[in-house]
Parts: sequence; structure tokens; C-alpha cells
Amino acid sequence: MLLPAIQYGPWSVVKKRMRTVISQLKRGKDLGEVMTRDGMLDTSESPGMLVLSGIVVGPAPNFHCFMPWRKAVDALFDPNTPAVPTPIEDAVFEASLRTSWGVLGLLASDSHSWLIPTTRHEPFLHAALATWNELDAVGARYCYSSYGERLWSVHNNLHYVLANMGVPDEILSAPLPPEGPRALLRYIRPPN
Amino acid sequence: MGSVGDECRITMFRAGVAELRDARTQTTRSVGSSSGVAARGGPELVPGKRTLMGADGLQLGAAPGPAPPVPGRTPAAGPTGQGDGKRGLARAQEAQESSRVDRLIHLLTATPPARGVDDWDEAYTFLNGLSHNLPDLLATLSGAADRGYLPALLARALAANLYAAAAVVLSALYAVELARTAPSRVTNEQLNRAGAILDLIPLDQQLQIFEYILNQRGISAAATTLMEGVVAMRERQTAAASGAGGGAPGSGTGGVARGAPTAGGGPVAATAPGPAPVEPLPWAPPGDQPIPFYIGNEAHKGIAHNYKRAHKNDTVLANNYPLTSIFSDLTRLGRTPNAGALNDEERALVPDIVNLTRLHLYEIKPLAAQRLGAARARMYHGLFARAGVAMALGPMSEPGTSGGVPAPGGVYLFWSPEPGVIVYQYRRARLVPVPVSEPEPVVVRRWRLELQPLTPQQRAVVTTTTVGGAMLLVMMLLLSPIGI
Repeated sequence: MLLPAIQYGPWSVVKKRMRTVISQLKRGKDLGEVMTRDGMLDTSESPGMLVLSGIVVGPAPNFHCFMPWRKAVDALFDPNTPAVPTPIEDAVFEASLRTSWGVLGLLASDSHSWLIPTTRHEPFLHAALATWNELDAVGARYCYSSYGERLWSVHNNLHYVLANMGVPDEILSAPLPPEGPRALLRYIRPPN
Repeated sequence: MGSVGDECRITMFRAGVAELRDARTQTTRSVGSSSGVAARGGPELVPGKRTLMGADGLQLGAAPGPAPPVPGRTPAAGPTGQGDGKRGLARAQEAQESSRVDRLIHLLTATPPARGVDDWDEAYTFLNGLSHNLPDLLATLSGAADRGYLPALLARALAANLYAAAAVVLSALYAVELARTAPSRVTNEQLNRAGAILDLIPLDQQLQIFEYILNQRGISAAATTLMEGVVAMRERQTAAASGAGGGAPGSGTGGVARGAPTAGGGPVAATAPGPAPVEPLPWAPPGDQPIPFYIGNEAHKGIAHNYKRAHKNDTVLANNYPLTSIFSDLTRLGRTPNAGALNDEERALVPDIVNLTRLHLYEIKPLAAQRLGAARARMYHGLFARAGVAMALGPMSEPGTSGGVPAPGGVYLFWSPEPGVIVYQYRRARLVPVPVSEPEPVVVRRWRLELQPLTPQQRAVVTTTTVGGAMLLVMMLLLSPIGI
């Protein structure tokens, strides 16, 4: 899988890069453009974890997949219109759904704030299902801590969205069926 | 390698609480009794400071009564407008401290060092007399060091061993030395020496020593996590010494089956196949990460992750979210927090777990720091209240607030002993499910989890670290502040 090179490195380095990314996003630049300006890296050729939550410090490089979403959501938030996402925020969200790395960024539990508006649940679910196999193929390299697990084992926003769509907790806590999360759609309760 | 959720209901932790009550009471008593906060009717919470003391808003281990001057710094006069009594008290303290420093310097310059193992050293006789009050001892040593007498003190340090309080005096002396040495110039010998002595003094005094160093360094807020790791590791050592979870390789059930925190009463898992064991994680601190920081940080991550998994429907923010971000999400959820009611420093504070759907908050702390966790939880509770948010201290019975999760080289046992607080213990062991013995016929097999010692192979991959080694780690942390 290819991930933006800008997400890769020691946390202290990535964190600095992301300040620039977020300021560019605030100015209305396209997410894909600012995130891929340094090119893409193949995860199979780049050691390290794919961090979905929290901070993994130290000099070892990792893909900090929750960035820039984790910090951008606050930067793009307009307290004057709290109930309505700003056009820039909506644009970033929609752009995220168009790429597998963007979907991964939204899957990260540290990007939870982006999924609070329930109107985003369905498009996010479709995008997550469409990219799941590619994301899961990376193997046990997803982490919220200092060790890797399979994507389904790490709490992520697909759990949150499916839970809010009515999928029972015991189903979401169980190992994923071989056919992937798509098999769980039958548990979704129709909205009242 | 999965965590154990609340469907398993690991009730051993209540048993663990009972088993550890003595140790906790002792620790709480020692910290509380020497902190002075209890005497003043509760901790004085001053949010927003960047030091350990200020970040937690709770001064650990300060002397009873009036706050002592910060060692090594000129005691400040009281703020303008305060009463004469307070100013007078500050002046008196300053005079006392100055007098002690003068006395020590006089003894260093006017009396000879001890000539042998049976000879007295006047300077260390004087310091031994101060050992009952560690802040005073640190202040006196700092004052002398500020005036250039640290080499003289170190040169005569062997004389301290004649006295009963040698470990306290030397711990303070080495702390003063380390606090004045550039981290890059600290030698292993210095660190090992300081660490070995530090291991000989009680936990509350260790905390005071750490606090002193951190305050001297103006450490970042991340130091609290390091401190938690040190405390957690200390607990693990205590538990291991008593046999629980730390039995010798090949000792079978170790201390666990003999009444240490195995699963006790209460609800347990009622599933046919039984829950998965909780296996230790590889010992893999990223880069040069300080070990206590690693232990504390991983505990926070693991416990928060476990809580999130138990609340999949909810909006849960954990570990890295300042109140500013939390208020934004509350607004997205349709609430109307008044962020303006808090100042910038308060809005930058970071609670450990907040459930914005249920309006519950928790602070995560090692068992020995439960009081600190409770104080911080109450502080956050108050801050949310000021912002108009009816955030409650999280109930003790909530899913995701007790269990066991994998830890580097062991497991973390955690539970909620009081509302708003989740405490944890680091144990070098694994958790394995065992059937609960019940009268026949058993309709549904119920399970509990027991601590089992690691196998020799597992232990072989685990690095040992002493609390004394934490001195080294403090210095390392000083060099690499982190934060999102």
C-alpha cells in the first residue's frame, strides 16, 4: 500500500511537517495536493508501524496515519457555526474518502471528531468497505501503542460507525469473518 | 493477544485491591501525611503549571504546614496585598533556610572531614538532623551547592554512612548534584550511585526527590507519565517480592494461586470457550525511550484503548486531547460548553479519558498514586463545571474500567477503586482464564483469570529495570520533551 511520505518519520519530524500541512488546508488547498507533495512510500518497503492513535515517540520512523486529521479538525473548526462544518472541513472530509490513505486517516480513532456528524457515517462506511482489503493487507502493523496488530483488532472509527448503525457489540468485538467487514452489514438496523 | 473486556469481568482486581490494601494504605498515608495537603483539608489544585507539581496541581510530599521554599531558588516574598502574617512567614522561612545553609557552610569550612569510619563529620551530623524533613534538607543542600560547596559535600559524602539516615541524606545530595549537571554530562557512575541509594528510601521520599529534580529542570508535563511509570514499576517490584505474579521461573503457580489477586467473586465470564489469555507484549521501548515513561505511557494507551472498545457507540477522547479540543467536540455533539470560562492554561490541560456521550471522566494512575488521580479527577470535574458541562466522575462499574491488558513484558491489571479514577498495576506475569468452580450442574461455564508467572523463556526476553535506574531516565526525558 502506498502512503504519503509526509506521514512517515519520527513523530517529532512528522509533527512539524503537519503544521505546514494544516496551515495550507486552512487556506483552502487541496488535501491530496498538500499530502502528496513529497511523494508516496510503499509500506512494504518502509519499516515501522502504522499509528492510528496516540503518540509513538523515539527516533524510529513510523507512519503517523492519524495526521493531519487529528489536529486539522480543531484548526478548521469554526466556533461561530458549531453545528455546521465549514466548507473547508467538508472539502477535506470528501477528499479523504477518495484515497485509501485518506480513508485510513479517518479510520484512525484519533480522527474520531470527523465522524461526529452522523451525515458522514454512510459515505465513510462505503469508502471504508471499498478500501478495507487494501488496508488490511498491510498485516499486523497497525498500532495505538508500540506494537502492531491487524486493522480490525485496533479500535477504529469503523467500529464506531457500525456500532452507531446498530451492529451489536459482541459482533464488533469478535474476530472479523473471512469476507471482511462487509459481512457485518446484515446486522445494521434501519434508522427509525 | 487481545485485551480482556468487561464481558470477562475479571473480578480478581477486587481481590487484588484487598491484597494490596495494606501497601496502598501505607503509601497513601506516607504521601498524605507528609504532603501537608491533608492537613489543609485537601489538595491545593493549581492547574496549568508545567512542572510536575503544577501540572498535577498537587504537591507531593511537601512538609506539613506552610509551603517550604523551592530548594535552590530565592524564596519569593508573598504577593502584594497579602497579609503581613504571610509575608512574615515567608521571611521567617527564608531566614531559617539561609541560616541552615550558613551553618552547613560553616561546618564544611571550619571542621575537618571524618578521619576514619569511626570518626564524626560535623557537616553530615548536621545534615542527618535535617533528614526528617526532606524539603528542608534539599533546600539546605541546594543553598550550599549554589554557593559552590557541592564538591566539598561530595568529597565528604562517605561520612554520611555513619548515620541512620544515610540513604535520605545521600539521595538528597545526589539529587542536588544531578539537578545541577547538564544531562549530556551526567555519567553512568553518577546515575547508578544515585539510583542505588534512591532504592533504599521510601516511595514518598523518592517522589519528593523526583519532584525536586523536575522542578529544578522545569520539566514538561510528560514527566508525570514518567513518574507514573516509576511508581508502577515500584509496585510491580513490591508485588513480585511478595510473590504475586512474580514467582521464580518454574515455580508453577507462583504467588498467584496462594491468594494474590486472582479472580475473586462477582461476575465473571460466562462463555463456553473462555476468554483469551492476556499475554505479555514484547519488551520494545521505541528508540531510547525512558523505561518508566514507556511503562506509564503504554498503560495509559492500553487502558484507554480498552475503554474505547467497551464504548464503541460513544465519543471517547483519551490521553492526548486538551480541554480545548474536548469543548469543540462537545459543541459538535450539540452541547454548549463555555470555554471562555477557563483560562488558556486550563484549556490546555489534558484529562486521561473523557466520554462525551455519557459525560464521564477518568484519570488513570498507578495504584500508589490513586490519591493524585482522585485529586486530578476532581480538578477536571470542577473545570468542566465552570465551563457549564455536567461532566461526572466516571462510575466504578462502567464497562472498560476494569480488566487486564497486555503490557511490555507483563500485564497491566486495572480497576476503578473510586469514581473518576482508574488505577493500574504492572505485573510481570500473564493472565490465563481458568474455569470458576461451581456446584454441578453447570449450565454455562464461567471463567476467571489468574496471574501466572512468566515462563523462563518469556522472562528471558524481559529487561529488568530498577527504580534507581529511573534517575537515568529522568535525565533522558529532560532531553526529549514530547507532546502532540
